This record gives sequence, structure tokens and C-alpha cells, in this order.
Amino acid sequence: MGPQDISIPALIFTFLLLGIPLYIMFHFKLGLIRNALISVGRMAMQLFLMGIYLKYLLQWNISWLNALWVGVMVIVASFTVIRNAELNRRLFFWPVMGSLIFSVISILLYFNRVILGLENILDARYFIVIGGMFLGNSLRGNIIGVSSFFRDLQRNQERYLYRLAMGATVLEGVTPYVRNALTAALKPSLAAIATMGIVFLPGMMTGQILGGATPLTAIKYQIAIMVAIFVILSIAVTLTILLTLRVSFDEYGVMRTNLFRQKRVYKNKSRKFRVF
Amino acid sequence: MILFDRVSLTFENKIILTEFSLQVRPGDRVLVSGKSGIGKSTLLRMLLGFVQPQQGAVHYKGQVMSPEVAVRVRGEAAYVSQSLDIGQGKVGTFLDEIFSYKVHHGRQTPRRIRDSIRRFLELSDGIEEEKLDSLSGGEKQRVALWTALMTQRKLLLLDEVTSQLDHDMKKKVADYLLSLKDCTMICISHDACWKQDRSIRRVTLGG
Repeated sequence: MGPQDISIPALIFTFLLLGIPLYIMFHFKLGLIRNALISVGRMAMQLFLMGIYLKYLLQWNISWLNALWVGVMVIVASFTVIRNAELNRRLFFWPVMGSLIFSVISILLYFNRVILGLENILDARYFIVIGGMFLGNSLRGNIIGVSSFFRDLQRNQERYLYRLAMGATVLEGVTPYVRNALTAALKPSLAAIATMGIVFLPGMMTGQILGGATPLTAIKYQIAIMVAIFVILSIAVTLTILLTLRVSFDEYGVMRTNLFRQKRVYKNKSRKFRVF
Repeated sequence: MILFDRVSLTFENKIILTEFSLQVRPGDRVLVSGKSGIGKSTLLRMLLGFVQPQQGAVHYKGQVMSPEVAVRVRGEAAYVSQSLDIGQGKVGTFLDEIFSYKVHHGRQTPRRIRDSIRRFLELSDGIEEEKLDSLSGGEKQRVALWTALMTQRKLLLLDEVTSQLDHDMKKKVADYLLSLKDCTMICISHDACWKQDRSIRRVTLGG
């Protein structure tokens, strides 16, 4: 039993609903109309294209192609983290990508093999779809964690140098910043976990129920997914920070001056995040 | 013990030091003075490896400055920075963190010494429960000095260590630090309390 399909005319009716927020924006002169139209247009286009890719990827279900696809998603996610954290792409690309690959792929394989007990752990239906879910949902926490670490360090550089002068190693010196960054990254995720099922019905669960799964299966998936996302987030932020320590400080332990990107290009950060 | 050998430094097109030389032998007390922004703090930062000279070299115990030598200096010096932005949270937590570093392992300062320095600096009994951010400039400076003295290190690098203290405390601290035996000291200060001591060698930058 599949969900009730949405026909093309029905989709047009969906877009008609947008008239309400557009009118509000116009009335209160929010200056967001153009932005809203572009954002919705982009979303429709991106999802439409994703629908086509997924159709074929699921149909072909070739293991190496599935792995390659997840690899591409990780690369795009790495760029998104670096761009939103406004960091120097050249310095940070490899450490960010390395930590995302390690955290997402290892947990994804564990999820498919140990939790779901799949025969083919690279099965497109699980590997790509759940991989995308993991990446998308750990992205925001990653951005918050990584950017908070470097901003905090830059803002409080005197404190860091003082610790070095008192004999701290680089790792000992940055520990308070790692602590703050992990707290900033994990707290919203913990809040989302704690309110799950009360404040909102999670997307994964809703999707599964609409797709015909029993509510019991749907909640079990949701629980497993939430735990996995939380684990990925913890590993990814910690690993990114640890891997970037080598490139972020000179051999004397002093923070390099070229860690941040020079220009702020993106105005609308929120549209870079995917929420479920 | 410490040698600044014709060091020159330019920062953002501003000349900070030009061919500056200074030798500090074990047990020396050196008072560095000079106008603000002339590069006094930079000398200590160079010795700690935070800034590298464009010309000349800094030597410590016969070795030219390198990342390894910088680590050695940081492990052997008691530093009080000019900036009073030294940490956050409770004073006690701040001290626990500083003394949890590997370099301090097995060299914990006995409680008795810790308390006697605190009392000497006229810091209250409950200071460890107070937050660093809520302390006055003078209190922060005394906490920084307390931390430095607790390390019981023999090389004192003091950057404006008495600037925020009241008149009596300035004299008390300066007299105490100058009375410490076997200590080598580089002190940056504008305060008159340091100049009264005849054993201190005075170096004026830009003068």
C-alpha cells in the first residue's frame, strides 16, 4: 500500500497556498518575496532532480554506484559545512570530508548490517536514502560545532595563548573550546530527541506511516535514526576539530591567520540546512 | 640564559623592534620600560614562541628558538600576561584546569603554599568560588600572579604585573618578587615601585 499520490494539478494548488505568506511579506514590506520565490523554486527543482536520480539509482541498484553516490553527497556536505562556517576551503576540505566520511559511512554500515541485518549493505534503498538522511540531519550540528569552535578560539585568542604560556599543549589549550563547540552542536540535537513525538511528528516516521508501514515499525526506525544521527554528530564534530588542529595552528601552537574565508557571500544561511 | 640577538620585527608595516639585543643571565632581574606600543610585550611573546623575529634570533639556555625550545620555555616560565583576559568560569575551576596540564603532573603545589600566597596577595578565602568575569582588574591581576607563583618556577616573565594594584600592594608585590632568590626575572612595568630597587637592571626600549 503506497501513499495517496499528489497529482500535478494538486501540486499547483500547493503552490497557490504560497500566496498567503507572499501577501504577508508584501503587506509588511519584508523584502523577502524574491528570496522566497527563489528558495521555493530551488527546492522544487532540486527535489525534482533528486526524484529522477533516485528513481534510476533504486532501479539499477549497483553497489559501487550507490557507494559513489553517497561519496558525492559527502563531498557536497563538506563544502556546505566549510562554506557556512566561513572557513578557508583549502585548509579545511580534507579534514572536514575525512571526518564526515568516517562518521557517516561507519555508522551507516553498522546501521545497515547490525541494526537492519541487510544482506546487501550497499542496497540503494537503504544506503543512499538513510545515508542522505544521516548527512542532512547532522549537517546543521556540524556547522554549529565547527564554526563555534573557531570563532570562539579567534575571539578568545589571548586566553588560549595564556594557557600555552602556562605550559599547555595545543590540545590542552583548546579543550575549553572543544567543550563549548560540542555543547553548542549537541544541545539542539538533544532537545530535538527529548521533544520527539510530543512537539512534532518526525519526518522519517510520518513518511513510513504514509508509505504503509505500521506505526510500531515507524517508531523503531525513528528511534534508531535519531540515535544514529546523534552518534554521527558527536563523532563528526570531535573528529573535524581534532583533524583540523594540525592545519589550524603553526608549529609553535599559534592559530594561523588564514583560517577564515575572506568574504561573506551567502546571505540566506537557513536555506542551506535540510530539516526533516 | 636568555639572549635576544639583534632581533628585528615589523608588524603590519610598523617597525616594532630594530636590531634589539639583550642578554639575561641566571638570577638577573631586568626591568623593561618604554612607551606604549613600542614592543615590550612582544619581547616576552617572542621568548614564549608566539611571535618570530624577521631578523636575528632568540636563544634560551644556549639553544636557538624553535618549536621545541618554545615548549621548554613555556614549561619553565611563570608568566603573567598584560591582558587580564585569562579565562572564564570559577577561579577554582580555572586553577584546576591550569594545573591539570601534563607539564604540572607530579608537581602539585601543596595546599599550604597555595594558601599562603593567596593570603599574601590579600585574596579572600572564598575567591576560588568567585567567577573570573566578576572580579575587578586588580583581583584578576592578583589571581594571575597567584597562578604564576603557585607554579614555583624560577623564570618569571611579568608583563605589567602591578599595573592594576593599589599603591601599597604594588610595593608589597614588587618587594616580594625582588626578594625571591634563585629566580630570573624579566619584568615589564611603568610603575615606580620597581625602579627603587638597585639590583634590577633597567632596559628602556626606544630610548
